[in-house]
Amino acid sequence: MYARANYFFMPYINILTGSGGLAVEYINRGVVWAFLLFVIIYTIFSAILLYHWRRFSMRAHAFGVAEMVYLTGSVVLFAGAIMTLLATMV
Amino acid sequence: MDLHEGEVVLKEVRKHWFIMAIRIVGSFFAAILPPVVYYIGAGTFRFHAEGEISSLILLAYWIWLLIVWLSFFVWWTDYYLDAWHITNERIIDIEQIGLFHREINSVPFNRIQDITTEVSGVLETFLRFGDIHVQTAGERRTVIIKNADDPESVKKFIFNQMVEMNLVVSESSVGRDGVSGPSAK
Repeated sequence: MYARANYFFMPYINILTGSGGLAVEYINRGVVWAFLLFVIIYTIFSAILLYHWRRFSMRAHAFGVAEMVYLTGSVVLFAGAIMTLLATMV
Repeated sequence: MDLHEGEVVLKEVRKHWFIMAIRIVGSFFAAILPPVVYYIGAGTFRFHAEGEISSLILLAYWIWLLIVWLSFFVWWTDYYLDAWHITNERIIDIEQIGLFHREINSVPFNRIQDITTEVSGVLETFLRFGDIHVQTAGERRTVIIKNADDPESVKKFIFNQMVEMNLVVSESSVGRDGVSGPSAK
């Protein structure tokens, strides 16, 4: 399990710490940092959005469904982005 | 939204579904626009991204999709939370603008002076949506809900509620010069 996690995250850690290189010159630390920044901004906005839904929903069923759809969609899209990023690092 | 003791929400009025449909279509086009532009551009300029560049373009596209996804739900929140709640005592007008602006106005039935509806345009006429203006005696003279679903039936519903509360005798007694609605009791 640890080895698998290590395999998954090592390329990012290498880039961020500068200890590892990438196979291509286009993708440098800047791209990964920019992606991480985007993840942080996206997470903040999502948290605000979900806070609104919880606070103002008045227990409406629609918000429960919306929450599920939104989170599932976000996870799928992030999975696609991370896999693409990983693919470029091989 | 805080309700008084014994107060119940009788009806919720939102913008017509067509307004949301426009946003759904807009989001769909925003999502497919980059690949369309890419393929048209690639065909026109005989450009073909390979290897790492294509991966970078794909990564940018995933990020674009995430932005469109988030924007769509912000719009949906705006659409869903922007509503009128008609209770047995008043109209609660909630105006949600984006994520950080929320305004709540309360219009008791006894302050309503006149209600008018405005349906203008072909789509509005066929799909039955438009604006409802409620003129009040309060500080904020007019409360408006734009692109409301079936404005006529909402207007009737409010009038019926006012008749039930003995604030008006009939629909026609509201808004008549000098003897408008509530004070006509």
